[in-house]
Formats: sequence, C-alpha cells, structure tokens
Amino acid sequence: MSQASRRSIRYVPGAEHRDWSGHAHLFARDIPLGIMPTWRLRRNDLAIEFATTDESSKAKLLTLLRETAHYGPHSFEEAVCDFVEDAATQMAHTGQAAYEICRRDDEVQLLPITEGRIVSVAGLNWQKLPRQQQHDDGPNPLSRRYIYIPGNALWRLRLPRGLGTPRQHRRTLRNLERASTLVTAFAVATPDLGRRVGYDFVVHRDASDRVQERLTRRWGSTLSLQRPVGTSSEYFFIARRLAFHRAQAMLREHLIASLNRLLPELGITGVLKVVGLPSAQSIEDVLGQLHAGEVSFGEALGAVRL
Amino acid sequence: MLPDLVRNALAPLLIAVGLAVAMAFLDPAARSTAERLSWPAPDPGAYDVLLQAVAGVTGVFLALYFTAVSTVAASVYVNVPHDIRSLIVRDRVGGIYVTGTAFTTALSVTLLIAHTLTSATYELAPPIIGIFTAFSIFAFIRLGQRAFYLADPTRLGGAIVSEFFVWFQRATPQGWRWRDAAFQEHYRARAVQAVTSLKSLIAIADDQPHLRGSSVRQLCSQVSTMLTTYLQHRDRVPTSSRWFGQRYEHKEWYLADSTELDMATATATQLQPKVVPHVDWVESNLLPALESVVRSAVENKDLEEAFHVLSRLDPVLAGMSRRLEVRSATAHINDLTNSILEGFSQQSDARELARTVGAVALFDALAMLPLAVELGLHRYLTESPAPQDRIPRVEVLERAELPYQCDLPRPVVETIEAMQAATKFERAVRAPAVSQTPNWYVNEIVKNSYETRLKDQVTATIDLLTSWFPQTASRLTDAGLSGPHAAVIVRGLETCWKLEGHLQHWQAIVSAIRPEPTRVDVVRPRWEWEALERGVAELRRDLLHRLTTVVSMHGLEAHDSSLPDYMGGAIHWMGETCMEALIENDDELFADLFPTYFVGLLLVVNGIQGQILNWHPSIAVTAVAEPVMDLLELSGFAYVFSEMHGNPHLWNACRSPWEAYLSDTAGANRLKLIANMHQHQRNLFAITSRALVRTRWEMAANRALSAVRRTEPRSWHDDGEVEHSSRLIRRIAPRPGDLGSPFHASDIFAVSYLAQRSEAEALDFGIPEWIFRELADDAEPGDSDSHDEGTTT
Repeated sequence: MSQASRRSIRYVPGAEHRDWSGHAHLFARDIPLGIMPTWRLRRNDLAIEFATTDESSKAKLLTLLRETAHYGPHSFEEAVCDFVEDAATQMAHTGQAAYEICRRDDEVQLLPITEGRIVSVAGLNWQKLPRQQQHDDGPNPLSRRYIYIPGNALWRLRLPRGLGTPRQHRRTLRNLERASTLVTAFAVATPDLGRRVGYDFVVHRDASDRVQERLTRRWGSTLSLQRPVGTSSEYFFIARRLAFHRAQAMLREHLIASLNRLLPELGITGVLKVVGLPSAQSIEDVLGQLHAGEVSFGEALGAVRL
Repeated sequence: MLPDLVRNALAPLLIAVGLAVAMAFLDPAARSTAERLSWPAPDPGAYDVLLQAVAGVTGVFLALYFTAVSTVAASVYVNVPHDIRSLIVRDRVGGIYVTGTAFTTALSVTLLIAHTLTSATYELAPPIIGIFTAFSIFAFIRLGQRAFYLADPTRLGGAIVSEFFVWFQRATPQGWRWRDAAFQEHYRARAVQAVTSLKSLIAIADDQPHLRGSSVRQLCSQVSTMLTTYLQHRDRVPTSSRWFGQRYEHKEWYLADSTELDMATATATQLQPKVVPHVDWVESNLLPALESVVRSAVENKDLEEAFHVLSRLDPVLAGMSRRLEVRSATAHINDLTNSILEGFSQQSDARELARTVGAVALFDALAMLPLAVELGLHRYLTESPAPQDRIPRVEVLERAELPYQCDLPRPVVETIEAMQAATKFERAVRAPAVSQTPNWYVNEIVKNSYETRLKDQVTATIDLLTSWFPQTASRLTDAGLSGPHAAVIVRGLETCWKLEGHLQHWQAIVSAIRPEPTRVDVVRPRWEWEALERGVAELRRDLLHRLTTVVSMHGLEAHDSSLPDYMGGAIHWMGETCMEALIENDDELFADLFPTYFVGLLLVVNGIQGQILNWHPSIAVTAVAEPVMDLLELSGFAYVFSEMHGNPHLWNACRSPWEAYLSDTAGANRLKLIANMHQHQRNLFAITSRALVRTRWEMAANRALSAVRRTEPRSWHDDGEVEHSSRLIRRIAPRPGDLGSPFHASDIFAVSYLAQRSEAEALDFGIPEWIFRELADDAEPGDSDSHDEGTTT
C-alpha cells in the first residue's frame, strides 16, 4: 500500500516537539518500557496466539500492524509487541493514542498519528497541526492547520478507566514536571540558596518527593526511581513497583482487548491473546498476598518478572 | 543591664507589696483574735523599731555573706576559669538564702512605708517578719559553716551534676517542646556549660596538690555516677535530637550517590559531608578527663587514688556495654590501659612499685573493666523483660514517645523512628492500603535491626576479651611487672569461666528475637557460635600457658600476705589444666605446663617449710606433703592416660622432670622423703586440705576409664571385658556400676615408676601388698600384651 492514501500526518518536519522534562519525562518513558517482553520469543511459556478459523486473517493482521512496528516486523509476534509499545508510548505522553485506518484494495493498515491534536465535532475529525507548520513558506503541501479525517478512518484509544482520563493524565504530567524543580528560582538567585529568608532545600525536596508520589499513585510509581523515595519504607518501594507493573498489565490488556474489538470491523476474524505474561489481576493478587505477609519480597517480584 | 535589674527586683517587690496588702485585708480578723486572747494592740513605736531592726540586721547578713563569698573568690578562685568562678554565684543554697534574706529586708521596708503613709500597724506583721528573720539568722549559721567548703571548688560538683540532669530531662519526652530543634539546641547549650565546668573542675582538682585525695575522689565519684545514670537514660532522647549536637561525617567519592557526585563535579568542590548526631559527646568529654586523673595519679605514684578513680569507672563501662556500645567501651579501656602502662614505664622503680598492694589492686581494677563490659552485656540480655519483649507492639508503634520508653538500643530506636516516618510519608502521599507498610514488615525490620546490633555487640565483646587479656599480659611480662601480670591473668581466667557459661545463655536469648517466617530480603546476621566458643577456649588456653610465666616471675619471691597468693593460685590452676589436658589427650599443653608445675610445687613446699616451724609435727608434715601428693597423683594420671590414649608423649613429658630431679646426687634422699610423705599421707585417716581436689581428679579419671569399650556381656552378671591393648587399663578400668577404680593414681605412679628405681629398694611407700601384686606385672606405658598392638615409649 502506498503512503499516498494516508490523510493524516505522522511526523511534521521542522516542528518543535513538546517533550516532558524532569520526572514527567521519566514517568512517561517508563510506561511503555517493558510493557511487552524484549526476549519474548526465547521463553517457552510466553506466546502470542491468534485464534482464527480464517487462514488469511493472520496475514491480514500482520499487514494491519506493519506500520506500527519500529523497523518493520520480522514476525507476527514482533508486530503485536511493537503495536502495544507504540500505543502505550502515545498514551504515556498524551493519555490517548490515535491511528488512521487506511484501506486499499483488500488491505487495511493502521497508521499512527503522533503529531497534533485530533479535534472531533459531531462525528467529524480533524488533525490540528502544530502552528510552526503553518508558517512554513516552502513548497510543503502539508502547510495546513487542519486535516480532515473521516470518522470510519480514525481509531482512537484512551487509557483504561482505572488509570484516569487523558485530561487527568496530562495534568499529572504537567504537575510532575513542576514538582521536578530541584531548587526554586528565588533561592537560586540568592547567594545562600534562600537560607536567609527561611528556604530549606531539604524540606523542599521532601515535599517534592511527597507530591511526586501522590501524583503517580494511580500508576503505582515512577519505575526509574530505583530507591525508596523520601522517608518511605522498602516495603512501600516494592509495593509501588508491583502496582506500576499492575498498571502496565492493565494498559497492555486494554490495548489487546481494544485491538480485538477493532478486528471484526476491519474484516479480520480471530482473537488475539498474549499467553505467559502476568495479568493485572494476578499482580493485584500478589500485592494482596505481599501485604498479608503470605509471600516474600523475592517471591512477589519473581511473580511479575517478564 | 538596667532592664534585667528591674525585672529581677520587680517580682519580690510585688510579692512584698501583695503580702502587705493581704495583712491589711486580714487585719480586722487578726485584731479581733488578738483581743479575744487579751493581747494589746501593737505599739506604733515598737512596731517601727522592730521593722527597722529587722531591715538593718538582714542587710548586715547580706553584706556579710557577700563579703565571705568575695573573700573566697579573691583567694581561691582567682586563678580559675570564669565558669568555675561563676559556680559560687550559681550555688543553689546560697541563692535561696540571698533571695529569702533580701525579701525579708524588702518586706520590712514596705511595711515601714505603709506605716509612714497610713499610720496603720498590722497585727500579723510582727509574727511574719519574726519568722522570716529567724530563718535568716539560722540559715546564716548553716551557710557560714558551708562557706568553708567554698574553698574547695570540687564540692560544687554536685550542683553542676544536678544542673546537667535538669537540662537533660527536658530533652527527653518528659521535657517541654522536646521535639523542637530550637529547644533541643538550648538544652544542649546549657548542658555543654555544665559538662565544661565539670571538666574544668576535674582538671583543677588534678592539678592542685591540696585538692588531691578526698576532693578529687568525691568529684570523680560524682562524675562517674552522673555518667552511669546518663547512659542508663540517654536513649530516651530521639536519635536526631539536637541534644546530641552535630558532627560531620565525610563521604567517599566512590560511594556517594549520583546527585551529590554531580553537584560536587559541577561546582568543583568537595562532597558535602553528612551531618550526624554526636551521640557520645558527654562521655567523650568526661571520660578522658577521668582517665587523665588516673594517669597523673600513676605518675605521682598515688596508686590508691588511681585505683579509686579506676574502680569508679567500672559501672560507667558496664553502662556503656548495657547500652550496647561495647566498641566505645573498648576504646576507653585501651586508652586507660595505655595511660596506666605509660605511667608505670616512666617510673624508675616500676618493678618495685609493681610489687606493692596499690599496683596489684590498680591492675586488678583495670582487668575488671573488660569483665564489667561483658557483665553489662550479659545483664542487658538476661534481665527482665527479655530483649524480644522490649520491642513494643507494632499496633501502638505510632506513638511518638514510645521507642524512647522501651530500653531499646539506639539502632533499634532509629529503625522504629524510620518506620514511624515511613507511615507518616505514606499517609502524606495518600498511598493505597495495599501499598502501606504492613505490621509484619515493621516487626521483621525492627527485629532484624535488633539482632544485627546484638550480633555486633557479642562479637565486639569477644574481640575485646580475647585481645585485651593476652596483649596486656604480654606487655606486663615485657615490663617485668609481676604482680599486675598475675592479677590480669587471674581476672582473665575468671572472665573465661563466666563467658563460657554466658555464651550458652546468649545463644538461647538472641535466637528468640528472629521472627518466623522471614519474608524480607535483608542482610541477616550470621551467628557463628562455635567460632565464638572456640575464641574463648583459645583465650583460656593462652592464659593457662601464661601461668608458667607467673610461676617464673614469682617463684623466688617471699610470700607477702598483703597480696593475693598469685603463685599458689597459678600452680593450682596449672594442676587443674594438666588434668584436663591428660583427659583430652592434649600432650602439647601438658608438656608445656607440667615441668613448670613440677618446679612450682617444689617451690611451694620450700615456701611452706618456713611457715610451719612452730606447728604440731603431724600437722606440719601433712601440710608439706599435700603439694607432693598432688604431684604424685598427677604423675600417676599421666602414666594412666598415656596408656589409655596410647600416647607416650604424655608420660614422657611427666617422666623427664622426675628423672632430672631424682638422678641428681641428692636424688636418693629426695626419693626417701617422697616415700615417707606418701606413706604418711596415704595412711592418714583424715580429709586433708587438698584431698577433695584430688578426689575430683579421680572422679574425672574414672569417668574417662569407665567409658573404655567393653565386649558384649555373656550373661546377666557379666559386665564384659575391657577392650584395650594396655594391661594396666584392663586392670584398673572400673565397671559401669562401680563407684570407681580401687587404684589410686599415686599408688600406680609409685609402683610403676618410683619403686622401680634402684634407690627405692628399701623404701616403703605405704602401699598395700595386694596393690603391688596387681600392678607389679605392668611395665612402663606402651609395654602391652604381646598379642596387642600397643603404643611404644
């Protein structure tokens, strides 16, 4: 399928991409990290199954997911893994993911829309491009502010209910970014780091730690923080990591379920299933067992290891 | 200055005015009571005279008191630091007197003014003023007597100690704003002042010859009592309290975390040091001051004073150990040991000095210190409540003051504080219930911290004991200080004996702390009880080896009854150890000890001979023969166990000194004397002084001999035959039901060795003929039946 049939823009050359900084960056980066195992094909108990009666459905699914893969999938399993990671990455940064469904002849493809915001009015959708693109005087034919995408050509994914709405997620990211400031600006401007006016760096850091943990409580924690935060205990550290893995599993299951719901609409019959990965429910059970003291730390972490 | 004066004067003035107003208010009632008692109304003239006289007299008392204080300050306190001089002003008794007397003067003047302005005389004024005046007069007498004590600044030590505890108590949960850093800082500042004053006082007392003796001893007693009490309660203060002050702890570059490393690299500065509480600031200030008193007393040859101060340190170090700070106690003991030994080394007559009672007592007190540390730890572990019961229930752990009330060691308190902070953090971040730290985790972490600390303390205690005694004994041997050397070894052996028993207790106690099951993957202490027991056994063995040095150092010295009989004790213990070595087939230890034991007993016999000249002959012979009987008995056991173990080295080590002793030109006479003594002692119908010791040896030997393997019994009345290559063992090994062997070890030795010598032909050892017959067939050890594969000599 040629790219010409695509209406939306995936990447806009020259646009200044908004990226999160500080802890917001770490948090958004951590969400898709390891959501699907990288050594997926080496473990015997791990498999991605596609239950179908139609022999051609598996090939169609591979075609469908081809553009979501990072460098072109080598296998069906890699295609599914890359799709999950791609969707999770979009959701981690914006709280939602969008794909344009491109049909040509008998082939259907999902094309990621990573640039700009999707504006929907009365079932009609437009991709709103970054402002920089409009002032580009070059011969670029894409120098428009809005690109229309038909309703049946857009597939939008939102975070599962337990992980908040896209708006809440973006607010979390913004607040995390604010709480990442190491030292306040007024303190930096003074020679004694604000001590004379009562500014205490340690108190500030403790407060920041608390705010960050409170902001990420729905997700568990920020996985990159490889140490107990503030005055928290090691148990809290382990439990929050488990909670993060549970949130990740919840997102993965949500993405697979959403894809399964989409497939019949695209004429692909079959059910996709990931076997061998800990489910959100099983991780929650482990967390409950850990809290009750029925399993050790090692056993609890071993149960969620991919 | 002026506002301060006004503020100080205002309160008593208001009270005086208030009292005058109260008198005016109660005057009608008082007057009617006086009328009922037919008392006349106060005469205005006499009223004025009384008040004037009281004001004048109390004013004179005040002037006299300050004159006395000024005189003392000008003469005694002229060359002392300001903080010591201010002690007179801070004297509590003097302060109360001055305040009371000044108030009496002020009240008199106030009543005079009231009389002048209103012409009113109050019925209650004369008795009240009279009471205050009487107090001023009698208190002045007491204070005047006490003024003589002011000439000795050390007498004020008690007041400083009281002041210290006032501020310390405020830093504990009983104090006002005890969690507030600013208040903690203030309490510390005042306590630092008290500690500094005490240090200065000790230095002055140590420096001025006229204060040495009872003054310095009393002061040191007060300080050591203060330290003991303080250590007992110190951990009631939060671990991060400013009471402890702060000191820097510098980090290592390759262990610092990434943020610190980045900051230091970016700013081209050193790593920021970590601020930690200076927990032992009181001890580290006062103990060196006491140590310096000990050292200077040794340098001044005032060993009695050194002993007194040193013995007062005993409870302090036990207290440290009880607070599970054995390593700090070890450092102080090592400092003290170095100070005392250096003090001795500076004396030209150190060896003579070491033979005095003072020196022996001093080193005995010094050797008590490691023992005190061991006992402090033992007391903590064994007293009620047991360690695991000291840990509060997790459900109530959130109470802020709880960890400071449970007599827990500092690291455990720190862990509980960390758990409290973790709970607070979790609430602040509104953590879901399943993420909140559960009770089992807290319980496990706290117990692990406790167990880790105990492990560290037990190891530190064993390290202290197994290093201090041998090292100090070696240093004393090198310095030729015989009395102190023996004192240290004897205390060391006592310590070993105690420690061997205590280790078993400790094992049972600490094993109860570890929770079951363990779920947290933390580093848990690895108890190596066998290694610890081995360390104690090696220490004991080492000290027993050193007993030979005691004999060689004391051997030719005349016994001084004012000193313990270290040589006699050393020989006695060597005998006991030789017997243990024989039973355990430890030929190396036996060979090390027996020759010295042999010589030592002969020296004892020589020493006794001089003391029994006026005794009844039969009693005197018994007294002289007792050591010889010990030697004969032990030699017999050497023969028997050499056979039993098939180890000729045991017998060889015994026979060599006998050969040397009897092969001399005087050998025949010596053998004759020995035969006579054995004959006398063996047939004596009495329990002699050392008979029980020898009986214990026999019982131990019989236990070992009855354990020799026997053949299967052939009938119900048969005990089976002894399966041993030696005929002697087959003959003397008691049957399982027997009370013991009918053969005495001394008989065996006499028959098998002494009677075989050519000089013994006509000698009678007092041994019955049947024993000779039974044992005569036996030759030297190793000469077994021809069909047996026995040992060879």
